[in-house]
Amino acid sequence: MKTLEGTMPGNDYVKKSKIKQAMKQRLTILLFLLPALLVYGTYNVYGIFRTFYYSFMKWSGLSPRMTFIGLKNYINLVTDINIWLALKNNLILVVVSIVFQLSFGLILALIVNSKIRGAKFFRTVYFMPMLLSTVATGIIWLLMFDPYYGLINHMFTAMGFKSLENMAWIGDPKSAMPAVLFVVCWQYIPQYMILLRAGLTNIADEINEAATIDGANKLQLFKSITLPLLAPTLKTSAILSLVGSLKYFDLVYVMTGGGPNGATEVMATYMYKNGFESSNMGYASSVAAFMFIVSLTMVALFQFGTRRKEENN
Amino acid sequence: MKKRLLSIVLAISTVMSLAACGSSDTSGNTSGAVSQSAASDVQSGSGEAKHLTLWTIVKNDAATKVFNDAAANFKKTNNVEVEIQFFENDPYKTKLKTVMGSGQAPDIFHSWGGAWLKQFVDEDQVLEITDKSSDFKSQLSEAAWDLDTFDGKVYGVPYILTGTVIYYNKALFDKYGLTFPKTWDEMQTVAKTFKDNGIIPFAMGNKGAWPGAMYYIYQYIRFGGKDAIITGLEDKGNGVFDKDAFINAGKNIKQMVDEGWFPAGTNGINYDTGGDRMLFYSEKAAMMLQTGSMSSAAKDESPDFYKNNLAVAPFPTVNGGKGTTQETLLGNNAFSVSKDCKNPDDAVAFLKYYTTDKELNERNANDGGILVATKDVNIKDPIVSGIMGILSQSTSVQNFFDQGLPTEVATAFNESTQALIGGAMSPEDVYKKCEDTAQKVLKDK
Amino acid sequence: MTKQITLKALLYFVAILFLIIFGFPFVFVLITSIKDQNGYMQSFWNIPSTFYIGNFIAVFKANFLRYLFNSLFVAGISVSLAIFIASMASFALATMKFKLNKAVFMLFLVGMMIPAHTTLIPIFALNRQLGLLDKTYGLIGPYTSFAIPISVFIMTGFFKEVPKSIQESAYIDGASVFRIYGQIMLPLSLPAVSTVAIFNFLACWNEFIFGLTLINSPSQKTLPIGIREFYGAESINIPAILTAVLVASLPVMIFYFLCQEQVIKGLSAGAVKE
Repeated sequence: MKTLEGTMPGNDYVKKSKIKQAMKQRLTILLFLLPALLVYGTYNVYGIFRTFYYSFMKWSGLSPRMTFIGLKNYINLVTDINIWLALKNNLILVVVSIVFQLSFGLILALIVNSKIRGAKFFRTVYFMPMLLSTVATGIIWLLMFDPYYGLINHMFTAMGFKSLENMAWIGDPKSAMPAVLFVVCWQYIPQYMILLRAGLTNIADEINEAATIDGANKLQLFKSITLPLLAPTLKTSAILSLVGSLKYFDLVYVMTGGGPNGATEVMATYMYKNGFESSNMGYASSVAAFMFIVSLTMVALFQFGTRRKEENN
Repeated sequence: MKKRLLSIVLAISTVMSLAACGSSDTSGNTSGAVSQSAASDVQSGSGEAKHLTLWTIVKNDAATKVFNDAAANFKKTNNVEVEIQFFENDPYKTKLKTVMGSGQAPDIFHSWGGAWLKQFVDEDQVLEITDKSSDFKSQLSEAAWDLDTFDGKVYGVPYILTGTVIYYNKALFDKYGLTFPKTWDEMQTVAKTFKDNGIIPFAMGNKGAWPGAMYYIYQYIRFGGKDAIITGLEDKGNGVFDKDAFINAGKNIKQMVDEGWFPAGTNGINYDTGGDRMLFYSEKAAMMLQTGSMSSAAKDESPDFYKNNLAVAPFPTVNGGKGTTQETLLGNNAFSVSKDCKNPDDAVAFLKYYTTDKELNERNANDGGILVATKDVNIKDPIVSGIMGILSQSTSVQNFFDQGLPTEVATAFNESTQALIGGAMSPEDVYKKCEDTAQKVLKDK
Repeated sequence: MTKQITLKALLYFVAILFLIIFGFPFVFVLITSIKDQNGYMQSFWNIPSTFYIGNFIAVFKANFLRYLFNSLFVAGISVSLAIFIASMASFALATMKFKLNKAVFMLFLVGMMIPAHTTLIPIFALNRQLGLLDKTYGLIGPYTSFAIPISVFIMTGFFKEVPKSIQESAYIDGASVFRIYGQIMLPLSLPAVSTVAIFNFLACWNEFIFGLTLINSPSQKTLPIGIREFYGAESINIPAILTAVLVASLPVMIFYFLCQEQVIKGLSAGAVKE
């Protein structure tokens, strides 16, 4: 860690009163840290503690009245099949996000990085979904997926797939989740394209050097040099994707509301539903606490797993 | 219950007869009463206008104008400003809960009465207005008041009757030489004819789960008749629900699903955003079971269709059922005053003016296509008077389960009927889920 | 040689396929926004010969300028605040030595790993208690807080990269810590600041669940909540809805086309190497 040791107040520069200086230095540090700690502490840190506190309460949320019920919410949670279904959907989201978003992101990054004509134009367009708010994205795709008036079914029918004429993408429990997943990918692939392209640009020189030395072909080059060098970027991207997938809410809320029949329910929509629709804030808090624990565990596992692998390598 | 039903029938038939007589002699008396109380308020009040907020879900150009005019007039007479906010149906249910008990609740809020309102009453968030409302009680539908009254205490002022009927496209019926069926057997032929011609029999958007629940409830009361009607959560010895009627109802719904009487992906179509209505207006679908909210929406969204194609009919009777077309699915929209309200007298005064004023409510009914809860209103709109006609024939009413029953049971019912329509549950499963939940809630009490 | 040509053809094929997948919805929105309802029902593909302006009128009648202003207001203030306090914290974390340095840094870092949604209910309860419910400015607190972790992360990294000699010589010249922070480090770190600003601005601009829960009145709504509401209110008027989507997305789109490099850099902020 680089610090300004020896250059900041409190060190050998001023020798008069070390204690006084140390106090002053502490005060300075505190002054710089305090605003951020205060805000962050109020909303993020205290928020998490409050979530756990509420999760031990029976509380409708309609009035401040609440009663302590111990672990009852958690006991209900463990036996509540819906939370496990929601978790399952979150995990599907995690896997699909990491696998598809990263791989397609990489393909797109390679495309815009290649010597293709109009690469900049391609990049400009590929990036555009990133700029839409999730609500806008959700509404556009909801309208396009409409079984009777949607563009997608019209397109398929025009292409000759008659069986898809009135396909209810969102209304059928079987296709609702895939449809939502498709839109999630549509929205986030551009982000990974950009992240990975940044990674590619950083290592471009090293690749060139290696290539001129070995005279290796492109595929070999990609496998033995590009990918390993890209690993740190891929790892950060995967963590981002992991955390994002576990807290996913917006698109599901706008497009399906978790339906039909819970087919697209995720932890965050289930929390929202319990808290704000069914007036069971205590239980919803235990869902939120569960979400917190799952996220933290998964990130820790992921970190641990990738670190181990790095060490082995 | 019987007495009340009689009075609703009487009330509605007065409306009908008055509608038939014409309007000239009925205007004026109620608005006179309001302006009197208004005058006294102005004298006692200071120069600064008082402020009330009101939340409603009524979504219709004419109705919006009526609200705004009512607020403007009230400001003139009572020096109280009423700020009106309009919400979308399903999100509203969530929104209201977020502000209740925060000190920022609206002074006047829309409710559906029944158990839905009761949850706020139980949390002590709603003002009791039994005395405040007594002087205009007789001017509004008695059956509606009942839904907003708990243990003899009044917590809401009804403003709309949500009578549920089948809306159909009469031009389509004519085109295929059909008449609207009186029985479910006849409905089979009708549905088959439409299906054969590529038309969806029923436009249903069941994303919110309550539309499908309405089909289910109608089947249930057609099978079980008036004895099966559920007015509250009580075990009549053999369960809360009539088992045979309940399962038979489910079987009919399942048949509708299996034979494609509903649009593809009905569980993903949202009534609030009109996916089902669009099918109906564009003649891709022939019928639709809906509340009174449908007529007001249609009048706005597709005026030509409203004028030329729309007709209403009662839900047909079913083979072997004990029910008749005289049992009706009916709820109400009411306004309640929240505990946070600082000027409750003004709030009730506004509600009195809004719900009893003849001119406002005639505009609501005739321009807005709304089933007003006000008696003695001259209704010229054919659809509204058609629905009123069906209601006036009713001898028993069933409230919507999701408004009349406790939240847990309501949720179980809506979710399991949605699952039935999605093919994930059988009629027996639905019965078991609902009855078990009801028993559990009874036990917890 | 033929192999290279087929490869090239494949590359173009894939590139154009993705172009359609990513670009087409935008074309669809654009075309539909200038159609009326009948025009839309007749055909989705037709580019209309006349420009129907009714959708835009409907959108502007529905308070969209207000939503736009609210979003700018909340995002602007939250981002400025977050950058200000996060840069101070980062300065301390990057240049000062103290026992809890690493722990405090980790505390902020964890904020990036945990879902902000888990704090929805407490923040809702807090805002309700403070009377901040249904106030646009009630969003500033949480938005600022959520922006802090990534800002601290990026700026701390950047401050550490600034050569020590610059600060040392400033200190010898008699500059105070505050002057070193305000007049040397902050100006030097403008690239990091702009990255953080763009990233967080877009996050606030598009934020949904907190806006949805904490705001009710039309006059207080931000753009995403406003679009969602407009969608419910217009229900079957699809061209008007897509026009609302277009209008709401336009400011960011224009900004993107003007300073593409900056925006892309801002949005890849999360990828800073560990």
